[in-house]
Amino acid sequence: MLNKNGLTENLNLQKIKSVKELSVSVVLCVLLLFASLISPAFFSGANLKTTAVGFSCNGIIAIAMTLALVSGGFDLSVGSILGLSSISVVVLANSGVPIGIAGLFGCLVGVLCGLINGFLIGYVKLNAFITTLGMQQMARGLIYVLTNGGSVGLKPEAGVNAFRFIGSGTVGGFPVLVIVFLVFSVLGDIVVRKSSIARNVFFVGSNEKTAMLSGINTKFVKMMVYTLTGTLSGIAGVLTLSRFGTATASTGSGVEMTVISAAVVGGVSLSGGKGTVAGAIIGIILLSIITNILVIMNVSVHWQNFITGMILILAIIFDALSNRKRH
Amino acid sequence: MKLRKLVAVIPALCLVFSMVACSSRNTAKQVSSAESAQSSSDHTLAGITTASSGQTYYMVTFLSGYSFWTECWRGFKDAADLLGVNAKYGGATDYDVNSAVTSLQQIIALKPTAMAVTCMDASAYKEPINSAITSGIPVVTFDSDSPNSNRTTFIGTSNYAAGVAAANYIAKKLSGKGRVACLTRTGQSNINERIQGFIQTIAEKYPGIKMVQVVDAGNDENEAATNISSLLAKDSNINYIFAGLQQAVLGTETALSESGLKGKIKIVGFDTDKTTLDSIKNGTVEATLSQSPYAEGYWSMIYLYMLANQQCIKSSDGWYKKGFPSLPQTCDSGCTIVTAQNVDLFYTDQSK
Repeated sequence: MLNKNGLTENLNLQKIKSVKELSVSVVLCVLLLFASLISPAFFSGANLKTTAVGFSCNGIIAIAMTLALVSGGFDLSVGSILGLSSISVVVLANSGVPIGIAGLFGCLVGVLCGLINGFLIGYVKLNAFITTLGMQQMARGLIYVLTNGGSVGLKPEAGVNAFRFIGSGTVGGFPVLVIVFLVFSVLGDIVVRKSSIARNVFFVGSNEKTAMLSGINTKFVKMMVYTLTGTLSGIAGVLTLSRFGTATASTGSGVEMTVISAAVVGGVSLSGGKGTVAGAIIGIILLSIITNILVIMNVSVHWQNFITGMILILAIIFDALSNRKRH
Repeated sequence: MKLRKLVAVIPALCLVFSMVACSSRNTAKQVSSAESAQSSSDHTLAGITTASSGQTYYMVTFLSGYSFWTECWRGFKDAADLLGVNAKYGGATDYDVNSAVTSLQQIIALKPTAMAVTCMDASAYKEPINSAITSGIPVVTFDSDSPNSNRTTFIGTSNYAAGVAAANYIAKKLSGKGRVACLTRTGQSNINERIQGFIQTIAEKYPGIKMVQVVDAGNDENEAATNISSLLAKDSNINYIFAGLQQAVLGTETALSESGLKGKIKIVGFDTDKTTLDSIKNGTVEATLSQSPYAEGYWSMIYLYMLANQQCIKSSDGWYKKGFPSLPQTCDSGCTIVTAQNVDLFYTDQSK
């Protein structure tokens, strides 16, 4: 039975819709409890606020990365696209283009990079790893060209203050950046759970051949997935700039690994076909809180990587064990 | 099948022939330029520069393209232009010892007249530098040294000394009493050295100053800001933060302004990027350290020129080969504290 209904059964849609992020949430709760015991500073408003601001841009990218992973691929170029979008906005705004238009252009840079990735992976059938790795280096190279290896700040021109408000302002004590992130997450989660377009991504990720035979345009689906990761990275780049007011040669470095590992910790499968946006977001929160706790506990910087890696593995083991019990 | 083999063999043969041809041509050129330089009886600068025209000097870095190197290269190129020789800039673009050394060896294979090298790792660079010198290419190191190699001179200020300077500056400002924190990046030896200089000076020289915490600056300004915010949530009773690298300066500025501590905690940064200089002007950063990258590049080129055109110095016949001491082993390019008082001096034409 190679129709969509058959596929749906095979996929066991219940898997997608079930609260898979439950086990990660339990890990998160244990961690929160642990943190509150360690230092009263952890639950202070200031700490929660700055931690949330810190993961907002990565969280926005994690939404799209979830779909890329679900489709059976991943995107290594998100960090560099973020940086390229940031520096493009600075260069345009400093040369006299109104900041609003420059900001839109920054998002467009993301769309364009994503489209190129998507076209090459979907239609030319290139490997996602090497294509996005190539894009990562190309974009980072352009950043080096535009920043001359250093950093470029936004000139204080008309509109820049309003633009900076998105990244650094607060509404009723709540950071605007976090609000933007929450809006994106809620929308992203609903779209991924409910829309038929997103469902096609799950079909492609579970079994590409069957999906193709059942009439899904897999090439187009793949192209759209990478266009989305590019676009959200572009948006994250503009938001990062509005927070810092400066783009540097290293803006966005390493973001791809943080986002991919967060998604995997949050239950998104590296082999495709499985995962939720909510899971990936919980993963991002989990990783940020681990780093936060390590700094609060004054753990030596040389040990921090080791401990982060260990907790990552423990979280995945816990997830795997609880999954096995459930089935 | 035979055709296929032939197709595979032809490019390989071409490669071998071209390598042989190139190396013999380069060697010939090398010998002839050295001979012409040495046989030149004209000891005036004009005579030497005529003899040296056509020489090619390399500046080799790791993490090529980084803004600090761009400034070194500006100095290197200016000195080369003054002397009428060719200057080239090369080196790996990533932060990986293996690719940095490979890239260095590839440049050595090009047989440049002489080369200035900054060492990502002191011991990993020793062999390649020594092999370059054995094959007749004089080498100086700049910014980061390989002290056990046979390089003639190191031009720069040690990162450790820069960290010491930062500690002394802050201690003076605090009159020897207060609380400080600093940001480092794990796994990067030059930054680690300056942070070690900072921490050890505070610990040994200033008992009244407490080192609250060393925080990792992460990969970019977002990680630096997040980590410093975590520290501030726990303990904001800090007088100074020493941000040992540029992205950490930006991250710290943002973290302080987001925590409402802007102005209460002072920042001392590192390097003289335009944005850091701007921050000093508008008061968000109190001071930064400059390791004089232009001077490092400029004097590297001058020293290399002296080594490649040995008739410039008449200390002893054939002094370079005999190892007769004629150039300083180290040349301190200086480490300057940049504050609001002298910040204008550090804006270059490029950064304006």
